[in-house]
Amino acid sequence: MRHIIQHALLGLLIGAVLRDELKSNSVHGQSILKNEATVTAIPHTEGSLRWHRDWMNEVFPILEEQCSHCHWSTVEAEAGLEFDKLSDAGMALENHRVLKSIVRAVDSGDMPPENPMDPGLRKKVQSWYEDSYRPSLRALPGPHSPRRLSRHELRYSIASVFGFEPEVAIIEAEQTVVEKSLVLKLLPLDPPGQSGFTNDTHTNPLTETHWEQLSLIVDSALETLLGSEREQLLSQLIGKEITNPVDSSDAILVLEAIYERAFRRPPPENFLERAIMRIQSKEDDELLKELKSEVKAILLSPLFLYRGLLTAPEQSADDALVGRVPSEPLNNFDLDSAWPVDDYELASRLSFFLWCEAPDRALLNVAARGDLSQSKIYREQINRMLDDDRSKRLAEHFAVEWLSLSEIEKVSNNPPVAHALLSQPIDYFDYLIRENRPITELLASNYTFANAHTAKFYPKDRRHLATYRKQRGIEVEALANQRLELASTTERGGILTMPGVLAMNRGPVVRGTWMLEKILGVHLPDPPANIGQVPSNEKGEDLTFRERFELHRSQPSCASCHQFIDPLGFALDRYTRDGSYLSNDDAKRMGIDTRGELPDGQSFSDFAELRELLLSVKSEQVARNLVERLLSYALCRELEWFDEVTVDTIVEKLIKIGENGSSFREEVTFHDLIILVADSLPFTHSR
Amino acid sequence: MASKASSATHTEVPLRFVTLFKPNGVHPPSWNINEGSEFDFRMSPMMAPFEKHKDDLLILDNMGDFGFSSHANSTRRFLSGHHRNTNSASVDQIIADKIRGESPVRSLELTTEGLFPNQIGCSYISYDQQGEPIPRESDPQLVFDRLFRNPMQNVSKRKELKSVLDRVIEDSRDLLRHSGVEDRRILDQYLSVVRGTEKKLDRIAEQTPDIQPATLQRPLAPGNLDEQVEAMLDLIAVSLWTDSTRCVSYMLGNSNSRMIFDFLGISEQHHYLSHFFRNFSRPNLDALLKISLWHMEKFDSLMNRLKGFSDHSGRLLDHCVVLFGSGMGHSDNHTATRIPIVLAGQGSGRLKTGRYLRYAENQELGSLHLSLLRLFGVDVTRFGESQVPLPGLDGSPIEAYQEKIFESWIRYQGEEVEVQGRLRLSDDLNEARIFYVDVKGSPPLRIDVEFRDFHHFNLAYHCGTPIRLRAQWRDQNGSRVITKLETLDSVFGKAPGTARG
Repeated sequence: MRHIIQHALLGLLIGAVLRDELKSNSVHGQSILKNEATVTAIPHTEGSLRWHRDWMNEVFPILEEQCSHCHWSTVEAEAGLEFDKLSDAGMALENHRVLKSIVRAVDSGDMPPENPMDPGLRKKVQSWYEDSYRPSLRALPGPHSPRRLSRHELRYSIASVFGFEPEVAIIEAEQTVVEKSLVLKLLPLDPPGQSGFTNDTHTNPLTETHWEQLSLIVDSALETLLGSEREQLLSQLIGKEITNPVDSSDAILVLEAIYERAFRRPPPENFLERAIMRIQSKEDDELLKELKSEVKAILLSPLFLYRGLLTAPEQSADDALVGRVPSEPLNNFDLDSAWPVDDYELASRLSFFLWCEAPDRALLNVAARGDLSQSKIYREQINRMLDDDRSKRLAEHFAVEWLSLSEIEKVSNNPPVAHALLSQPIDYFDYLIRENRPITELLASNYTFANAHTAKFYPKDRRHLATYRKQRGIEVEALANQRLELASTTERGGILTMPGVLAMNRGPVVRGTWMLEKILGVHLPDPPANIGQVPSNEKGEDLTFRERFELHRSQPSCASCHQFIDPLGFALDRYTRDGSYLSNDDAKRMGIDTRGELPDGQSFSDFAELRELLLSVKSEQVARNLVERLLSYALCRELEWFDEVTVDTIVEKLIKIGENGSSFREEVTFHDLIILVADSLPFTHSR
Repeated sequence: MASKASSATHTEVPLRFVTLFKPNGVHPPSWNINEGSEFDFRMSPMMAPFEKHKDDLLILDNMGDFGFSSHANSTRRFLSGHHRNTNSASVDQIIADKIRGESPVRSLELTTEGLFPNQIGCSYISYDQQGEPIPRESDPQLVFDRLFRNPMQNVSKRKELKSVLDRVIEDSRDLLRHSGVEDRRILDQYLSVVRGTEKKLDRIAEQTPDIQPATLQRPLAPGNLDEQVEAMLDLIAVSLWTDSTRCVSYMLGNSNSRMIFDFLGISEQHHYLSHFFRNFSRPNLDALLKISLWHMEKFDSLMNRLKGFSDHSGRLLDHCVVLFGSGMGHSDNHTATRIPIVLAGQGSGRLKTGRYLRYAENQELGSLHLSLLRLFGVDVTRFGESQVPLPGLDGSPIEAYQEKIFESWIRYQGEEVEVQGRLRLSDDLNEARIFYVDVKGSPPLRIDVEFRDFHHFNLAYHCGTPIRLRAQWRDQNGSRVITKLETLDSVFGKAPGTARG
């Protein structure tokens, strides 16, 4: 462990100096240089020393010479990128993602925009990255880092602990928006963390507001639990008939059950002992009163409110390695700083990943037997959990947050219509997971989910939907979706052509940026300020929007990003702002031009061809991005340099599954992906 | 159990203001009082549920001066005077500031259902000083817990919470002994949050004595709208009586509520039914009237509760002003005239009840609000777009509605008819889409037109007033009936407001 401490100290020093010097640098709103000194261990192998040396002596000087007139703290840095901050190899490593994008931009010749780098220099940067830097990276699990449960995790976990969800009394009517969940109503919204996901609560700690609202929520739930249906609800909790009046031995059983469900493991011995002492001699009202404060203390305990707390082995790391054998070879990472998490922690990670809630009794029982780390049983549990309705939360939370689908709610202020547009990708994604469909069906399929509100987008196939007859006296109502075969509709299928997704991203630039970031995983810097409007046609000119736009953004500093964005966005130009598809005549009349070219030269004439490219030549990039996003969601944190190899490994395994079967396109399924993530080193280990 | 109010040493009696809002306007033939004077009047069939409170009511008529009005605008006007008054507080909020005194909660804003985002203004009557809508609460248990189980105000709850705090602090200290650096950082952070709450409780403990009755019954979880509203009305009365708050606004639903009154055996949406002309059918009208009667019963319920508590050597109601009403009059074509407005309670002698006031002209709601503000001692000269307070609330004289004398006649010419007389809705609730023109000396002329004509000529606006119209008539079962309107004019030149409300 010694080197961790050394580097942490070094990190503190660097951090202290930098904090004073740096103004905030941002790439898409995130600081590229972290405020907190959280410099992690740099693998101190021979290789790492080499890349370290080469960076300082060879590569960084190239950047200094070639990029400093735009990306330096002494100038108004383009895209907020100040490369002088990367002069130290440790800081370069900390900003792994920036590093990757620099190398990519140099390698492709996109940067510097006006005078492409000399091929020799380009080669130097490239080979440093490929031959020196990347090989020195090691897969490591993330550092032990407890975090509070997110609002959604609290909501589902409180419901699973009590056996019912605390609800708000409010009448539900069509076309209105209600919040039935007391937890969601009272707890403040979780902003997305560095990873972009709200389960990444690292930078959003518990506040007094959380604590006080939780106190109110728990009180309210306890009124129900110990209210008129007391015997029934308590019997349900302990799986044994309780008769009136509740006696202290029943109360102890109740406490044990709640402790285990809330803490996701048996409570520390003295917790339970003290509780038993307090409750033992009491009866009737006194007993219920005591039970109430015991349960409240459990639900407000840090062991309920935080994930991963006190799961680090107390003893030396060597002892801790006895137990689960991970699927990665152990020599891939530093033995002395990592440990496989215990079965209870593994159960928690799995359950929060797949269900967004604390493990259920069945999973805890497997963990209690110490069986969960057995590969076969682990997979059985994953399959059981994916089969369960609760796995829909992967669609509702992972997919919605990854693809920013909640933007769809802004498309219509009529809730049944907004519901139809948003539930479409959610139901679709849920189906892909539940039915274990190929991951490529995310982008292309010959079926979709629709209802009477979205039927108009499928004129050629809508007759296959069951006829909808509105009940008398109902004006507009939210409807469930049906699976719809797209027998004659070639312009739809997959997430990208769903009307809600198209309508939430209005215009080619927004659509192109969204596709680049969300589907291809390319992160672009913010556009420069004062870019002005796209000019309208001057007298005598008759240019389409696309032509005028392309003139407007022909400056090198614009083109460097727009050359990627625009072809993707304009490929979708036959889909209108509300997501409808233009007829041939309309498209011709409006001069719609959907042709384009990918940066590496493949051309396409319309979106269907672009989609084919995404599924063939770009399939690895698409899959890699999906792996990165899902892994990041599962780990509830942003991916770091030490995750790079893990991602590589998962992508390679997915490709191998495709090679062993008929094709990547047909063989590689969502279950494959989920199992590989759940089985990965960082998911099963900590350090 | 002693209320703070009755045991308090303050000599000044607290004044309270309660608003109860009825969604989706009214069905005028059942609501309107068509004859009668200030002290001598007969309440309408719809008012039957609260007829017994006649002596405590001040029923206002000819309120509102807009021809057509959207749900959202008419809702804004209900407490804000004018729909353009979008950057000041609604009248209840200004009153709340004036009368709050020592009461712990400034005001309660309550409702029964969710938000209607398509026209968000339908969901709010109370607005803050910037004119922003104030979030509403629908759950009686939640309101109860915040009012009466709040550890910041309730000593026994404070003790309970303190013991839980002690326990989690003790447990966390235990945990600290086993924790590494990162766990310790988290636990320290947790403990600082817990201690923050603890400190807050300690500060409160030093400051205020226990003022809340400990024996109040927490409402049960409601099973339907009726139970939810009854529990809330209970809570309103109790919170006023215990002087927990002095100002409450309660919406029985959004102004265009889509709620389904299944507990009354109705399966159509309220808004759909409220368009009783467009969607006319006998069962639809029955259902609408059933819902409206339920609203009236809830007003009755509130009155009973406010009368049931004694307060400062009188009834709680004696020290309240209650405003009951809706945003629009005619619920089918959204005419915002003859809006149902009933004041109740004596406001500690400021309001003179047991009366029916029908003003000569259609009155701006802003005038009513201006009068209410004055009544509560708020010194203002204008509110919304109104500068003239509504006279009569305290018994001062008003210009009462008196029909000017007009001639009535009828002339047939082929298939056309020209007629002058008073337009009115059918008295028969079985045919609520039928109008009549009364002509002296001849039988009333029946009008049975399509919705388009009804709306285009705004029959609902002119209802009850003398008009002159030209139309086509047909023979139906031996009597003449107007089936298509050509022109319609007010005899005294009345016209709906030009601004689209």
